[in-house]
Amino acid sequence: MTAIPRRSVALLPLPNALQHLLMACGYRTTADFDGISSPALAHTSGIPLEDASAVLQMAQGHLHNGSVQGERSARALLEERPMRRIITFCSDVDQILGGGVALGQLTELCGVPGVGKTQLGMQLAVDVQIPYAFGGLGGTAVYIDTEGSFAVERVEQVAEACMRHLQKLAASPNGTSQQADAVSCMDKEGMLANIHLFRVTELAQQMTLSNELDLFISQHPLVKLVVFDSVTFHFRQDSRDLAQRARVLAGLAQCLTRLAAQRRLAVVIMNQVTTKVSDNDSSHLIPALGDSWAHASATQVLLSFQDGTRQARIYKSPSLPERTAEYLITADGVRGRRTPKRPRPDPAA
Amino acid sequence: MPRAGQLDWGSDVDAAGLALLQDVSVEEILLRGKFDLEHILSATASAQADKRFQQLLQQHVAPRVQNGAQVMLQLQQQVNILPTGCSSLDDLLKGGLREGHMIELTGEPASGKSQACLLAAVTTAARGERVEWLDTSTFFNAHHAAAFYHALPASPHKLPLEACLDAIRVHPVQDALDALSILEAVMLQEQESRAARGPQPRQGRVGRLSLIVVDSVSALMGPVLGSGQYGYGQALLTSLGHTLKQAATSLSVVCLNTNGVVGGRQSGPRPALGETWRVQPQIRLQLHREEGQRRWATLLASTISPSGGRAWFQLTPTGPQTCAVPSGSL
Repeated sequence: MTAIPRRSVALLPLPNALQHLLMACGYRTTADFDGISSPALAHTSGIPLEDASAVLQMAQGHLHNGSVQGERSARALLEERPMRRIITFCSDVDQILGGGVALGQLTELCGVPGVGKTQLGMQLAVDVQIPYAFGGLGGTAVYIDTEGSFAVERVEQVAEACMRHLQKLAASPNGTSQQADAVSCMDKEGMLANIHLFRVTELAQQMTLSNELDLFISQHPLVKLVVFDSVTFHFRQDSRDLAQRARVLAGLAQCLTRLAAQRRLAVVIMNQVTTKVSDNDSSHLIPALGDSWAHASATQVLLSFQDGTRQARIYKSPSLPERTAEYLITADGVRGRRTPKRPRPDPAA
Repeated sequence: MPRAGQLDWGSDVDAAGLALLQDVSVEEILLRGKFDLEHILSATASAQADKRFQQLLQQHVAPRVQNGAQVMLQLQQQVNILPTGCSSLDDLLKGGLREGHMIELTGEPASGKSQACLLAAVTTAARGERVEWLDTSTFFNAHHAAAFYHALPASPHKLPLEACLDAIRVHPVQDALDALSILEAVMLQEQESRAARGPQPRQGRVGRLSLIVVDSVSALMGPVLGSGQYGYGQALLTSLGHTLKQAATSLSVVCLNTNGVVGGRQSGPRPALGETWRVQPQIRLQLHREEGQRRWATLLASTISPSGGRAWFQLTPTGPQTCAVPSGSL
């Protein structure tokens, strides 16, 4: 029976100098730290006590008192209360998304320019603020705008329409007093103030932001949505070093996934589409940025124009079926079609 | 591997010498020069100590030897094959997932890789055998797992749903170093657990770790590869592959991982992560998407059987299910 492989000291996240020192002292794998105390390590290697403690903690890794840190059984995950979702105000789209945009994961909206990605993003930034009493999250939003498409007057319009809708619900026979209280506290300035806008114009800015986001969100715990509009802008410009682009994108995906999972918020990313030509020379739209990006988001929604209508289709999801829904962009924001399109009367009849 | 000071030196090394040997690993002594204990013990070392060292090496360090017939016997008696839950995939794999092996499912997005892994996990856990699932992109869906469970055939060994799901442990993984740390912890925990249970536990394989899933390795390694620190990324990749393979062998479990694809119109999609990774898994299947929910898998590489062959299956709400081979295909 071969032994259990242990992590090499060369691959622990320690400064190079410390790594070399430890290896020179004969510590090659984490097994060499078994049963050694920090004072003993500090003494044999000549490093300060705090460093020795840090090294031992790293060597110990995820095993504490016989159990693995951070693990959850599938049963515990199943029994978790289902998290609320962020609605889009188009019930058909909400339905194909399983109730709305989910927390804890990345949702990608892919589509040609003009199909409504930014409109959806702004709608979600308003809808995340829907108070708890109405089944919403009562949260705030971070909006990262790389294309200059965030239009504050439009958001004001959408916010006002949302409030009118909530006021109607609160005033209806089914409305509760909590709902009435909640909606009376809302006003359009407040709703605008609840959207934290980051304008990003350069790649370096975007990469710095990725590192800063976690800190920002820890300081603003009400944030429940991060919109990234859009991820393709910067990377469309410099396509020479594809490997570097792939690496940077992968890092961004990892950062956003971690954020979504650890902070339990929804991350929505906008992406373009490109055309894929199949073997039989038929072509169809697929999300842009290729294979290196493909596995980044949990759910990919493809937005397109079909016969003059806007359609949303689930392109990839670990659990949702590939259904399609129509949506509209109205003066009030994103909405569903109230009545089915009437077929044109047959002139011959 | 015991440390030098823990070996039985008898009278060949005095107390002072033993104290010096406490913190030295056997590897250190071997690396410093052919059995030259004088480096460590200074003047007091004698030829006796050297001789004793050679004996101790033979006893404790030298690798065991087996002949081919013994290995074959061991394979037939001890190595188990885990069914994936989808009969066409099992047929392609000559029975199913083999213990002691690192197996990779590669393919385009939505080709069914995670679903196939989940079905294998639920099938395994329904027998009470444990599954450790490393989740790099928050893809694990417990509701899906429950749905897959309900479609499993009834059998006297099938545990109730709660017990089955209890046997699947999900670990959110942040990055490659995190994955290595989690894998190490999982292996150490299992080692201790088996030592406590004893060689022939009454409950058979219930409670025993049988399957480790890493979904997905390409998402994990993306940020590290290709950077200026070329060597580091490759070292990490090699280390991950080595860890999974050795984990499979030393614990007699299945290590199953998913991988994306890259490339091209000319050559067709191929597994991601390049040449260094290509040689790591011992068995590799590539999954392909067709229209609707139909998928097919082919064996790209295997240490056991020649590549080729196709398994057809459908993605359903209860997991990948074998479907008929479409007319006009191989």
